[in-house]
Amino acid sequence: MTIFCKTIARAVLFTGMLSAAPAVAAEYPSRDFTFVVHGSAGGGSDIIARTVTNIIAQKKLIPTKIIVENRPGGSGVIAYTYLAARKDNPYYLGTMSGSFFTTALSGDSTVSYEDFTPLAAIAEDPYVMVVSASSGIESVKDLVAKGHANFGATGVLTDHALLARMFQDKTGLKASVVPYGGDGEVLAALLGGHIDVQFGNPSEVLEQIKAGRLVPLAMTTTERVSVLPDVPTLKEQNVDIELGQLRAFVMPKGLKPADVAYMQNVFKQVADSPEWKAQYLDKNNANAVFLDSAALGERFKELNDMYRGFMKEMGLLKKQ
Amino acid sequence: METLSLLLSGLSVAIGPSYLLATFSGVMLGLAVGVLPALGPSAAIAILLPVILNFDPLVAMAALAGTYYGAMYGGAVTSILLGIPGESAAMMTMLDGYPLARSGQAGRALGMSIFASFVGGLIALILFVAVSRQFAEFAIAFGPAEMTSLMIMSLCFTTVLGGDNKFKGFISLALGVWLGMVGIDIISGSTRYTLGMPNLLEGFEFTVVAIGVFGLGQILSALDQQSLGKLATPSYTFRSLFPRLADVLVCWKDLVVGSIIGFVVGVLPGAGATTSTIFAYAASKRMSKTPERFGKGAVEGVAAPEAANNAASYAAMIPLLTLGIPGSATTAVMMGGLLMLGLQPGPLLFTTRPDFVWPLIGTFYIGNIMLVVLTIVLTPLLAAMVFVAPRYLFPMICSVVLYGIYSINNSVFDMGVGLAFGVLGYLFDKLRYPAVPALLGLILGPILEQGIRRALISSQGDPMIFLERPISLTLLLLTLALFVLPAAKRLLWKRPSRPRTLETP
Repeated sequence: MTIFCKTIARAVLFTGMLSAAPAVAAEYPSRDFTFVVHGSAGGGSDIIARTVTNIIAQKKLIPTKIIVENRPGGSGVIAYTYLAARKDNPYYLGTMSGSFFTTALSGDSTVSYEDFTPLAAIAEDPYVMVVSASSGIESVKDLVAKGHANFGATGVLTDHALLARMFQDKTGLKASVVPYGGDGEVLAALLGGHIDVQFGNPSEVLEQIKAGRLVPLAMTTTERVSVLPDVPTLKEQNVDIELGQLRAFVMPKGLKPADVAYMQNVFKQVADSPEWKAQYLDKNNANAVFLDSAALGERFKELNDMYRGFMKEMGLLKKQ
Repeated sequence: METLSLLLSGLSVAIGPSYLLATFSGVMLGLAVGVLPALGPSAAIAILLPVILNFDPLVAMAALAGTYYGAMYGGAVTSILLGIPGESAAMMTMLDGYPLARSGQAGRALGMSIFASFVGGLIALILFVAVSRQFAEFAIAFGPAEMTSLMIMSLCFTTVLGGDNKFKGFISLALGVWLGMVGIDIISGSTRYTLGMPNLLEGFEFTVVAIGVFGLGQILSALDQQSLGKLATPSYTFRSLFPRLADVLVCWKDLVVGSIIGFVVGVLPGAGATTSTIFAYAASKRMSKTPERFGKGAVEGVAAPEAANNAASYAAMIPLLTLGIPGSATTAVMMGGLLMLGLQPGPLLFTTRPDFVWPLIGTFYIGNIMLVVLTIVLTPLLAAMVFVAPRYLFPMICSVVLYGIYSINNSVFDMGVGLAFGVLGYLFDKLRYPAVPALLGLILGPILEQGIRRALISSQGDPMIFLERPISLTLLLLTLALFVLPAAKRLLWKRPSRPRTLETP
């Protein structure tokens, strides 16, 4: 009797699954999403993920919910590995930063950027190159004339360090990179005269510039920023460097192109919304940018090559 | 005088009902997370941040700051009652607080920590209003070279922690410094001692190691003894649950000195609060006529570091409010909060927004008074924990701390790390090695190493940087004096060398 019941139950279940499978695919998304954040609650990547999630919910851009899940630690590797293991599952989203490339190149992570589907980039945080007002330096030319300068950075495999190295290559100024624990420490070191140059976040250094304690020399991005309209870009000053912090998102590999296109469109709507401008771009003085999945994939390749070259010079590439 | 009137007007705003409620909620949350091992102030603030963004900036900041200094108050509780420091700044309090509690004076130790926190807070707040500007400039004058010398000095001070054997203390310290190297080296970018495990890339978290070594290690040692009944000292009385006001008079010197040290060192970025507790404890021991009581339950040994860490928690906000520089992980999260609230912390905040800054400082004063009242009422309740028999208490501690460890990074791996350090704590206990130097090494070692390397990078390899800078040179000379003077004294006066027997519990 019980065996009979079980067989019936199995048969019913089986036919049910058969009929349900195409229906699920047809109405993507039909389940809640998990947004895997590689930083802890309250950090930069967390704030971005939660802001995006709130805007999607407010504007009802998808019929289901997005749940933010923090998986901090291991320089992001914990989160990247977790997300990469969700292969073929279109209900996972993730944040990324420079460690997305560097940990794989150094051999500390088993997953690389190629194990993910690039989804979209929706902002770029510019860096503003600043020096202390007491240094007497007023322009990129003055700085280069110094011959040697100490650049503060938030670690050795970061955009700040990369920018310092690029600046040395393009201008001939000898740049020593002094790595600190965070942007705040770098700022304190700059104000105290322990380093010469910082590539700062506009929101964090703007008040120092207004108070006359720091002097902005250049923006590192393609365009000037609205809060510092008089500060020219490095390109305008004939230094061929363009690098900002891309705020981009990824999904696991092996997804249907239609599903990726669907989510990419959701992020496009976020990027175009006044809410995103008010809640993120304006608050962080970030530039509005939109890269779709294909363009972001190209950008990832460029960034990976850039990091590879940089790490090769530093002797940090994984031994083959 | 103008400052005083600004402060008074700030206070009058701060006693408005919504600000009182915000301060109260903040300090309550802070106390709660401070009391729970493994949950630190920066975690609490990160949790609170998304909730409070919908409020008026002053309400939000009053609650955030309240959580921060409230946690500093609460941090002493687990140190004293359970011998488990929830965060590094509470570790020195444990040295004498825990022996006091074990000898049936839990209420007295907790009471002392409350009075000390109050006095530390009060002195720091007075100094805050008087000299915050000048102090902020002093803080940024502290570069890598100065930080290196300060760390050398504090590591030398850890020798005053004694132990029956200086050599064992040194081995423990060295082990801690080595453990501090695990993970990605931020200066070179290469990984050290990670055994290929991504979970170790960011190194060992203080809380996980401390809970393992002190909490679980102690439980393992207890299980080793024949009967758990031996542990419970039967001499607890109802009286022992209450604080003793008379202690404040006995310890007034330690309180004042601890507060000032806490304020001066706490303003420095990095490990200001922890370093200040080491200095305060060492100073207190030097001032004492009976230094041999330290480490065995000297009430001054609770007073000095507690006054220091609370003073430091206010001082740490000075660089944030006067210059817009976050000095610690916690104040970095607070700076994120200020930015999200649309306020730009920077050198101009005091001049452009006095209507925000002064009432905020007002809420600090009120929060400090609230905390003293709250904690005195709660002390007998908390101290009653000593009546819980080990066979009930230990399983409770085990589950709470393991969950706590898990909750830091949602990581089962961390629980394994905590357990492994529990075994290490047990071995330390069995072999009579002091564990505190290891934990200090874990915290201060990386700061020392990074200081040396940053200084040498910026001087392009010239070691004279440590001697050319006046603050750095002064600190190094003081450290040298610390060793040379006692030796010189002995030589000159030919006093019979009295063996100093200083034991850790």
